[in-house]
Amino acid sequence: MRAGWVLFGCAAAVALLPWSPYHLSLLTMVLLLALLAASWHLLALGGQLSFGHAAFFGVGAYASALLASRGGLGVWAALPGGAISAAAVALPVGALSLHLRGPYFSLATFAAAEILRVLATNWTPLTGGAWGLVGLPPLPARGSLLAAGGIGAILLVHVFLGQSRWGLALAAIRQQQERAEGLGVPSRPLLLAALVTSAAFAGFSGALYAHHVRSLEPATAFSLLFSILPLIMALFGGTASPAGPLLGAGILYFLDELFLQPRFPAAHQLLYAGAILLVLLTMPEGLLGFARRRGGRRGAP
Amino acid sequence: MALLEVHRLSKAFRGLQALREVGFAVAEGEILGVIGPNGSGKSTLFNIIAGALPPTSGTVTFAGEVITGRPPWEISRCGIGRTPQIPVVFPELSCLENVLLGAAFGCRRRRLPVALARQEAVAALETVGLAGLAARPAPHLSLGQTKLLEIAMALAASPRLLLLDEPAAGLSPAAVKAVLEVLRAQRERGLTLLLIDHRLRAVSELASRILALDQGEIIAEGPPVEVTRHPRVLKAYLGEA
Repeated sequence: MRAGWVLFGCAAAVALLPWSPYHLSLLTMVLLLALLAASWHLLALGGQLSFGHAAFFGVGAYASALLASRGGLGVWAALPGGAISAAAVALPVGALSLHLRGPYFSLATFAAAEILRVLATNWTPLTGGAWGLVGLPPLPARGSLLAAGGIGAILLVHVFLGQSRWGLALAAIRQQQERAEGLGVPSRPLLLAALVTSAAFAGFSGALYAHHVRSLEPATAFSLLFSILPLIMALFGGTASPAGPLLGAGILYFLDELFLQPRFPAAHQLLYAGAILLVLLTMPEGLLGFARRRGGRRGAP
Repeated sequence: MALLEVHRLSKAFRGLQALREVGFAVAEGEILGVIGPNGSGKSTLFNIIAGALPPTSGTVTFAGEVITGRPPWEISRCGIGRTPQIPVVFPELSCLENVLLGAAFGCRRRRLPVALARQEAVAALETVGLAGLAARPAPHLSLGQTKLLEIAMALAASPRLLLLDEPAAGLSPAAVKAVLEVLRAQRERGLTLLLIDHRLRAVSELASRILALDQGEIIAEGPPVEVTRHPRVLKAYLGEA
């Protein structure tokens, strides 16, 4: 948890420095991806692995974009609208899918993202169809601070979980769901609350994305990329602590953008995948888990 | 009025009739033993009472409320605790945290503050003699200690009825003694128990009444001395001469 606050403090401090527009853009992107990864991790605390967070990311992106471009709201008001819309969509998705477990739940979330992508593609009068929406209002200056604020809010959720019985309940559901239910833990309502909270943050991340890139199309907003990236970033950084997904997002995004793409433009995706495989094969507990295990071993008598 | 009433309960798994029109009642403070050979339907009966399985037909009434078909967490909060046949603890949690779950979420409708729940969890660990192992990770316990931890998890929830599924199965004589001592103490406290066990002697000593099941049907019911000598019970356990 402490590592999470350190990363959050560093991100907020860095976001305040006078960067070039290009570097500010990179910073905003990495922070909104870190927010997406941290939102995915909130649900994973209860043992449910979503393969469809693009559903909530895309709904948040479209809702905020439409509220700002056609609803006449300012971006400040539209952004929370994106989060609320994603949370509202998560309610029926969770009610239908949370009686499933393991890979079946994962596939149900994947299907939800696909259904929403098809819906956004074909609901042309509202979404602009496959052409999408362009010329969206931009994020306010220092938009990266908004993403950092979202990350700070997720860390506060973790503080609440750590101090209440609900964090223990999520850990129990993750480890032995049936036994937890037998002890009185209301697993399905609790997982639904975790999914809705997670979706709200994913939706906020999507809303930031919409006003950051200033154009949206269904194939991008609901793409598999935004379902798989948070999962990979969280596993890469480690899922034992909220700092893991943040670290994973930071390392993977900057590794690709600042090192692999400029130096190996033709092979950067191959090297990116290789880096992920290397970490997952040699450090299955993620970078942070590995570092803690090594640190613990050194400290042991 | 009986605390638990099971009325014409049946359960079929496709072609297999696991329970057939089973009915009985348990009074507050009573200890009812449930015996029967493997496959007789004992654990299915517990699973249905605890909400882990839906019955094919029949009802379960607890403290005057029909609880059939409710999710397990609601049944637990009504006041029914349970220990499973094969111990299931939370491997990433300490013994205290395992018991804390029972205290924080168990058989109560009101919300208990975490600090108070922690006190109740410590008290439950003391009851079963595991207070010294509170900080130990749950998977680091022996089988006997794990069975005691399971009982502590259930007791921490302050149940009105505790379902114990073979609490002494597979244990050494010393561990069996420790488990039976804890159960005797609960009997003295007046807790209502429904106890499955293969050890006829142990069940006979603890229970005031025994229910014998075979192939999903009740074949005998009454005081331990009568049931353990009942010809149908002897036939079910030992076969035909």
